[in-house]
Amino acid sequence: MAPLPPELTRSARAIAEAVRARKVGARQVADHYLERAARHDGTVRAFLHLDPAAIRADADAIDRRVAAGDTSGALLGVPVAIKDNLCTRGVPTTCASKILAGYLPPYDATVVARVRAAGGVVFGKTNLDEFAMGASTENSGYGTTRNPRDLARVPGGSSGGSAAAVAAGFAPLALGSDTGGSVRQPASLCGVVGLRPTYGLVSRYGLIAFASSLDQVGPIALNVEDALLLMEVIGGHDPRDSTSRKVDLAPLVKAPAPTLAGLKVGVPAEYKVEGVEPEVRAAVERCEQLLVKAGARLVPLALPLTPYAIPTYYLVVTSEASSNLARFDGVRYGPRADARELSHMYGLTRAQGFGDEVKRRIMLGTFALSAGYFDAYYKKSLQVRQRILQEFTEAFTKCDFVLGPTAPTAAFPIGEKASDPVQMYLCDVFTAPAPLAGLPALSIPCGTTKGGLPIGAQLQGPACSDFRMLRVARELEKLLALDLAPCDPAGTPAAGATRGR
Amino acid sequence: MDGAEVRRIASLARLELADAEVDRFASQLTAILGYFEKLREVATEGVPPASHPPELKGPVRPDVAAPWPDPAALVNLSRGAEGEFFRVPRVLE
Amino acid sequence: MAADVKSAAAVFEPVIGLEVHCQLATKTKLFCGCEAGFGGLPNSRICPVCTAQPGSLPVLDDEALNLAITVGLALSCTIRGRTKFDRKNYFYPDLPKGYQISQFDEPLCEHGVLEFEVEKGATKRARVLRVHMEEDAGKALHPEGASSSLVDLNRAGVPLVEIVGMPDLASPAEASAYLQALRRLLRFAGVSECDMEKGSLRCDANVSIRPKGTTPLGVKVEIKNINSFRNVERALVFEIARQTEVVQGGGKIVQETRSFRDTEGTTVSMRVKESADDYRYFPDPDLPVFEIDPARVERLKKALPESFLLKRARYRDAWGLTEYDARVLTEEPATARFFEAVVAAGLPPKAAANWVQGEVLGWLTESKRELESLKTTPADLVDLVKMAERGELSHLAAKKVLRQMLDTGAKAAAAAQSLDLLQIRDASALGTTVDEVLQQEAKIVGDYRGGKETALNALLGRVMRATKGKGDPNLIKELLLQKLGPAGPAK
Repeated sequence: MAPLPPELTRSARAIAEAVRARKVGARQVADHYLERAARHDGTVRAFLHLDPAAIRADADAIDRRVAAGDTSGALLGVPVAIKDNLCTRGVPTTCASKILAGYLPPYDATVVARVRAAGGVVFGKTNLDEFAMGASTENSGYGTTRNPRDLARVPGGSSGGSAAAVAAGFAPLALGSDTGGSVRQPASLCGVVGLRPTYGLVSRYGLIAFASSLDQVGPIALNVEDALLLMEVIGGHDPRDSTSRKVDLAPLVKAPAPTLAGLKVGVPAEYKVEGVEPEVRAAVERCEQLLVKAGARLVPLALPLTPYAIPTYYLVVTSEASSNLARFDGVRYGPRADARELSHMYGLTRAQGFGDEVKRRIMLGTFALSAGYFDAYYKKSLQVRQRILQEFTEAFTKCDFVLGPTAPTAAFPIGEKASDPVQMYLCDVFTAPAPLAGLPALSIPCGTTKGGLPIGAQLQGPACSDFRMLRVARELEKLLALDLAPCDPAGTPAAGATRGR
Repeated sequence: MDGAEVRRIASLARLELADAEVDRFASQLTAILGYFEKLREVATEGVPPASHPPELKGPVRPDVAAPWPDPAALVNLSRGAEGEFFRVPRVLE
Repeated sequence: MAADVKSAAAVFEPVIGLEVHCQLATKTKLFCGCEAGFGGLPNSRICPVCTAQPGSLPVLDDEALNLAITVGLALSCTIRGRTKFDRKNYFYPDLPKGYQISQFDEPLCEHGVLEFEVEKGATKRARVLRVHMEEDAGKALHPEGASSSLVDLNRAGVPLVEIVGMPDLASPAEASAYLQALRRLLRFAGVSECDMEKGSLRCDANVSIRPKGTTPLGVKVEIKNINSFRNVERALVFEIARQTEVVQGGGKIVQETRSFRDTEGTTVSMRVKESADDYRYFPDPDLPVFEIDPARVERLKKALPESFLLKRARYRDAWGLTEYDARVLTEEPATARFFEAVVAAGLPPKAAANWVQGEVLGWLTESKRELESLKTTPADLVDLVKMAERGELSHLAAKKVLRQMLDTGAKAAAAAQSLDLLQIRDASALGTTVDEVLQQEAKIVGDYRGGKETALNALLGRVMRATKGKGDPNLIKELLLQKLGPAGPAK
């Protein structure tokens, strides 16, 4: 097997161009990544499902197409790892839950179909917190994924498998989903780029719902350019999703790149509070300084509702999840507990199929929607959500983008927060607000701790500013001049973090 | 939230919990709900609830049949597939 | 019990309101592209959406929205400018998602009214609280004695409207009349088949009793599984008697849902209303708010077909039909359509009513067929009547020919030919027959000559018999007079 030229391992766009120019074959690319995964995924455990034969067959098909003269497709020959809450036709899709063990979806999610149509190679299904409920991937029903930068630490979550796969060089691109930070926080903790698009810009059809009014599929990549590439492929209207925006992506994609000179960057006081690690704060402040040096203006902001985003977020998502997860009853798919009476079958199937965090959230949501509590909990959360939305709308009259940390800390040790749900929820403090307002936000690597752990900076923008924001991030990325390359897994796996439960 | 409330909610949500789980969830859910109390600090009188991003409007689909090509395969996904039906344990009325 | 109840009827009065589910006549299900048909193999009309495969999402059918608005307009409702869908959460194997997509606090249509006939000529208006859209559940079959149930999801996701009536009905007979009128209204509006046997019309009844002349409502009981028009009255009569007996016995009515048992004609308790019934309604986050364009409502209002009550009045008042004919011709939309087409094709309304009501409907009843399956068109019927008017067929023959047309689908001329019933209007051919008859019937001719005018009719009859009824009687009479002259001695 001819080795993949090293410059290609840093850029998905370069891979697609090389395949298009017939400099490398899609099969050669696939073999490279399969080989890396085979070597390192035993310790990282990013994948729940990886079928080398199927991947090679897909890559061979691309090569035949190229040989026949068809070199179309923005992702020609590019492997894309898929979070396992996205349906892949005939390929196991579990949401990292036992309740979907062995489930073979009858259809491809729209984003998966678009990746395939763009010449991308669907490259395995990645681990996540069960039903995307978590910030560490420890809630997976099939074992914890480890952070390739330090195997003793979590990769973040819920798209921990996708972020780890890209960081470890198992795939140049991955799809994640972000409900309250599930793309951005693991991107931050693994040192990769992750975008949460404007709500409705990417189809949710085939994304197994956690909280429908917040879920968005987003790209995870080594660099901003590649995130942009994948976003162009997956974005755009889908008639099968009633919450899909009827916007034409082309003008957004083609709009002239904003210059940093004169750019107004909002800096909220609430993002520099206690609880943010000093190293994280310093790394974000370095971004501020670089932007100012490039001609941007910092706009001090007050976003006083920031601390209320987490309780608001958790009430909205648990309420929606309690209903979204009602379909997992063992009747039409998934394992079914043995019971002679229906309601007993339901109760056992669900008790055995769902993990603790999922059960907690289902119960919280059921409670928040139940008679007598609806107004005090669910309705109240929607009212606060309205105010958070207004607060952002107001902020974006004063600035173009809001800058801050993605997560208050770098990657934390596996097991550290696993037993305290509220501590885990606090990981979302900076990522929960944007989804509540339907706004786009992204995380880019902006430095490392002294211990070498990645730190992410978050940009948040007004609705549909995704592509402008990506271009600003690309400029910032240049100024930061970090070495954005996949890493070989480092450190020692934590004891006790075993596969399965 | 006490054990009885946890049992009521779990029963609404069709989750059969063991006794030990009931106690554990009761204390965890109580802690989480306690944390949620923080929202009382936010004034929301007269604020309309936001269930969706505001500018989204419901679209419609033309009334044109698009039958699924293989309905039998959908039945066969079920552990209870029986001929053309989904079989389930008897419903007690 | 019967005697007690009779005396109690003087003391208590029932208060009844109906909740009616009606399937909208769309091609597809409410939120997916599956066909919304009836029958067929179990689970043959299912897809990822209506089987609630993980990741699948609903998209609203445009026509279902149109038809639901039309229901609202037919009931003189206010149509909301904005409406939304909510989830009603409960577990049941016929409910794939674990929730039903319905409408909770912002129904599409509100504050309507239904006019119905309580007895001949007397009408009453009952208020309609709301009309909302929702998806149907599938069907769970519970085979007798089996340890498991079987689920068919063909019906899951079929579009329904629920029409919630106010408690304005004062007797089981009124409830039945209300339901009949509602069904006819919906059928004439073209929104639904409203076939109770096929389940495209379903009715639940809320009923309470109170001392006569008082206004506060009693504790209400909901009756489900009323599966025919006849049973609406049966179920209510039983339930009112039951409640009366309970109250007279010093007991209290419990708020509950009861099921009607067809075989026994009774209602039995299904479940007592309590907190276990916690549906946790909340706005469906998969479906944003729908804005109803006023232009859409205007367009549907203009397209709203004439109601059967207006039609009935028009047939009677403008077209001079009898009350009976007007009523019969407005029982079913297809009948009215056929009748009006016959009028449009050139028959005067009264004649059209006679032919359609007397002949066509009679034949349909005898042959147990539906008007929809009829091959004979209104134009065919008019052709036939015109033939009779032109004298090509006798009135009696025309009726026979029509039967043949209805039986075989043949056109009027062909049917008349095949039955050999076309009148003989050839003067020379008939003249020969007349001559023969005059020779054979010398006695009658003698009577006529003797001044007996009526003898002419006897001769006419003989000629008709000789032509097997096909001779044109007018022409024969003319020929007889020509040959015999006036009654009395030959000149």
